[in-house]
Amino acid sequence: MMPKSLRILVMVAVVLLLVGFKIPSLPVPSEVGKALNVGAKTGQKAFKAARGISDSEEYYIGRAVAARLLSRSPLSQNRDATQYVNEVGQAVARKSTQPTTYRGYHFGILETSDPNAYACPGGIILITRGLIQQCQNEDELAAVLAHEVAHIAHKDGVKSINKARWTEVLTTAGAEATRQYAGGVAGQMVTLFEGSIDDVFKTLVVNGYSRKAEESADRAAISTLSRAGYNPAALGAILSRLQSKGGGGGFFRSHPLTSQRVEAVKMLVTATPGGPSEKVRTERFKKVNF
Amino acid sequence: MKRPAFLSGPGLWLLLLLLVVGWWAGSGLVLAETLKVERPNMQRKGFTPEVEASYRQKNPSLNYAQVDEVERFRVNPTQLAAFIKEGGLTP
Repeated sequence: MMPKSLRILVMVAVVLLLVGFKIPSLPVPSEVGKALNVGAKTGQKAFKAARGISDSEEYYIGRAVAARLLSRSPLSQNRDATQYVNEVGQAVARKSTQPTTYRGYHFGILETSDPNAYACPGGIILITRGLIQQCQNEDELAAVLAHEVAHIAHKDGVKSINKARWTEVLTTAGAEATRQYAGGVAGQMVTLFEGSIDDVFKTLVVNGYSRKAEESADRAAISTLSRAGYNPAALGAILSRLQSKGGGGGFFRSHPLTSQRVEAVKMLVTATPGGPSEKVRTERFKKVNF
Repeated sequence: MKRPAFLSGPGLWLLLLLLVVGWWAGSGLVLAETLKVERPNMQRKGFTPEVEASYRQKNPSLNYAQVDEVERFRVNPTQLAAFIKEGGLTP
């Protein structure tokens, strides 16, 4: 038989163990608390740093970049032309290496004569009326759109976000105060968002993609065009035309176009005469009043 | 006043040990629960609709209305299928 004092001790021990697991309010001694806190925060940072930009974050950056572009040149209200560009765009996007995005691909026409096209991260592609007018047929328009889709699939826009800035985004996102979205941390995140948009915008509009990114997008566009049933030689044709017109305006800034690049594209595909389907496509292209 | 037998000698030490273990285990559980709750939330942080809303408020000249217009434009799947077929493209 257990002595009475030992029985009391066992009962107290059981109660303490049960209660102990449910005492969140007991203060943690400062040093131990700090260690636990540091450990938890380090774990959070490591967890956050391990991830890249998410699809939804890419989407919000893309929307902001598009909003800036649309502040400079308005969106065309030509419904027939918009419908047509979206049909061509969807026909190529579904055959690209990334057929779907967070909120899908969307195509719009910018009301400006400056020939250019912009791949906003996440899936919005804006092409200028000036560039569409440089295209002689649907396959060339498809080639331009396939090239822009490739930039989105390769994440060339978001790759231009400064690495230190992105690390700061992750650290800020991991901070406990962010949960509340109040005060300085939320403000800091907006500043980081703004900076990230600046980085992407600079690449898309001012500095242009790297030569490597351009060549990679060209190769992907040629494969996409073939899979979609378009003539892949159309990419070489439109690039040659833009180059021969001496400058191509903003297109040359955002998509550095060298004679080597044009030659490289032409080397990848042998120009073939268009079949009856290509003629049908060219006819419907010519019917659209851009 | 006479102290109970279990509150003296080894009994007292055992009691103190149990108190510390119970408190520590409780704190650990709270910490573990905190991390468990926070991890899924953390994945949603970063650039969110709330950040976009603050950015829009800060930059009212940006043309988000037309961004929404671009996104609202949808190609009817039946029309797209007809377009692909007519152009001899790959379905």
